[in-house]
Amino acid sequence: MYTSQITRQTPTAFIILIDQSGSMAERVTFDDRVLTKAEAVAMAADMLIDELINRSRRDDGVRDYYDIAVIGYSGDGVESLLCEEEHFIRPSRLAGMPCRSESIIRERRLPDGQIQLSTIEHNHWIEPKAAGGTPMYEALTTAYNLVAEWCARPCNRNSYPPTVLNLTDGEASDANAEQLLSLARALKSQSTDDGPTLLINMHNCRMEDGRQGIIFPSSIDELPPQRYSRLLFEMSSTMPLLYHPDIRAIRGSDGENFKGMGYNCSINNIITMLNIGTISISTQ
Amino acid sequence: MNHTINSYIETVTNPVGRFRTLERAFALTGPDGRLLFCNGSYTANFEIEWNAAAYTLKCPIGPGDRTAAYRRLCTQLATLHTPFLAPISYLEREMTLFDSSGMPCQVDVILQHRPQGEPFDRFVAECNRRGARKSLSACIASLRDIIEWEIASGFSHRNLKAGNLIVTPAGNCTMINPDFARLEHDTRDNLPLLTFAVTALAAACIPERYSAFWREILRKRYNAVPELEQLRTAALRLNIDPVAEAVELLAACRHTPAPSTRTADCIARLAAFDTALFERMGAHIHDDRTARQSAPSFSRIADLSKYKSIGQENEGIINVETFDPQRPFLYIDCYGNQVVEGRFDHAESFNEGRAVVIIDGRRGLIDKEGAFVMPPEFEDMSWDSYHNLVTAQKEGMWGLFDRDGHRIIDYRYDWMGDCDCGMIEVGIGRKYGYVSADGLRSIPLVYDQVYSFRDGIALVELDGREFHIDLQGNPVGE
Repeated sequence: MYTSQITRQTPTAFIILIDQSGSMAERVTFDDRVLTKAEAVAMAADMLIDELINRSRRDDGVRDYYDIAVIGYSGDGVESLLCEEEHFIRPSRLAGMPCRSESIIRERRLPDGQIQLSTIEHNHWIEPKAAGGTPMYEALTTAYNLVAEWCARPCNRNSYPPTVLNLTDGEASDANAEQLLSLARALKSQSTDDGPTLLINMHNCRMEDGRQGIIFPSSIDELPPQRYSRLLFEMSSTMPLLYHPDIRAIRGSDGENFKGMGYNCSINNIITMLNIGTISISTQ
Repeated sequence: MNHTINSYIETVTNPVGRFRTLERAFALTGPDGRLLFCNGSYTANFEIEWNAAAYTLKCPIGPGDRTAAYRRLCTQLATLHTPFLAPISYLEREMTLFDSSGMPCQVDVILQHRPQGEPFDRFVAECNRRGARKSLSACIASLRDIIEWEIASGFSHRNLKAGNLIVTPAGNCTMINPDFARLEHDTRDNLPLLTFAVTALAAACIPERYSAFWREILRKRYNAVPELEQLRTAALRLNIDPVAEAVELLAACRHTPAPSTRTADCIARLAAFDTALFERMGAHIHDDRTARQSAPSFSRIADLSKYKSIGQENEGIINVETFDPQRPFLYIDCYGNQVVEGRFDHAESFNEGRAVVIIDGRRGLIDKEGAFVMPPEFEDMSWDSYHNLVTAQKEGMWGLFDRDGHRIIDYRYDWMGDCDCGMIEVGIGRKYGYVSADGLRSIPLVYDQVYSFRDGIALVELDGREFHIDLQGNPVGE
């Protein structure tokens, strides 16, 4: 299981769920800048989308290795953030879509101690938003429907299974723990011949950046004794072996049975987890 | 940890100070201002210019760590010395990348010379448009030379497609992107080379139908089309049996068939043909072809698969690790002959005639004869071939030596860094300063942190305050 290579004939799917509830208006520090969580999470998602498009560039153009959906959930409900009409968008179409671009200056310290400025073109694919409650159950239900429909397509039978990446800073306002757990199990039961769907939950509540949250725990004992952290642990998938080298490198320790979750994460933790969750799989 | 393409893009678009040897390299952009880059299966490939020449910078993007495999491949390919493959080098810790938290790391990259010319498909299409049959004939002859060379050398590219075959302005074909190449017999290149040859033949023979032929054969490589039959008939009329057979083989192909014995045999017969074959073909259909130089001579290279690990080839010498439990390291040339006397517990690559080796846990410096310039009695040692300096540690203290092992500075420092602008970073206890490479001048060890000099200026830290000093130790820019 989890051995299929991603090809144009056998693409995979990434579904990114973004919490856009009112609490996402809180401030965090990211890249030496003070931003709202909503802005920082949108930037992380923007970077991931750029990375996926760039990974799809071959000498004959942008290849469709991925079906990408970004879904926001807030007091206004659940909505598709890349395109209003449809959820899944492929890289070749994304590469041709208009997108606001901004030059961002970042200060970098080189190994010889020199300070250099980097000018980075940042594409804004996701509009930040922070409003109302946290309808996570509804968002996961949308993801479940998308995954179920995607896995049922005969052309995806041999594909690497879908990955659902859920970025949140709080608890669901539309369901209790049992309901969420039950839905997560149903989501993870959807599969291709290469394995079940992966659900990775990333919980962000750090007010300051720069410190490590708990990412990819290999045991529930690594988490604080809180009901919510344990619920996310139960909801999340166990990461397949192919992710282990990168997970061990980032955790700086051995271990196994890593759970696809992060708790009390900084934005940098989230970017790292998004990268590990998406670019560890080879494209052909 | 896999590196993101975003981080590579940041470095190639902000290159100042971020390359070790490719200083002043810059990324090329297309007419629309976008970066010229695309990906292979395991690398992001950026088009760059460095020292007024074009290169492809191949940056590993995972998944998995293929560093050792790339290093080994580059070493093997460097021993081939062939004009049929664009020169390629493995550059260790060449590029500084930054992760999302701003932490730098230095990564290995592969630098491939990008030959002038056009990818095969564009070249043939342009020749066809201009009616340049001489160029097509020269191209076919070059393909024949490649086949001949591959059969003799055992090299196999294993990912030959139109974009990986560059036709130079002189009409010669050069292979690029040998990421999957092997130096063992493999018939995987037969079919694409056959396809290229027949495609170029078609362009020369039936230019008016070429575009349809090109689309069907070079791009899709299946479906027998009327043009193939025309070509076969022409070849039979001229009694060029291997060409007729090659066409029949292609006509019978659907998708990408496994290389067969018959395909290999056909290629071998094509390769065995005198260049007069192509002259005759050209004379029948169009005009004369230009005389081609004969295929260059080459030698079979060493069987490197018998070694446990292979280092970087420098100065014609490769440091290799054998499976022997005792003193497994030795130095060989590209033909597999041991060229430096002695065996070692560990051996680094030669640079400027010197290499650091380890025996019984102690480091020493040897020359190309294997003689010890500095005996294996040091706890640590670093050879700076650029400045001809050796820093060596004995009983915990560091000293400085020249390339012949003559002492420049006695063992007096707890730490010694690199030499830049003639000054070496040094430290005793928690205080740091600099000493000149001739040992005659120093900048007092009063700083809490020091960094290497660049353009005569270095960043230092004292009592929590950072500032720059010049080569005399005077603060600047305050």
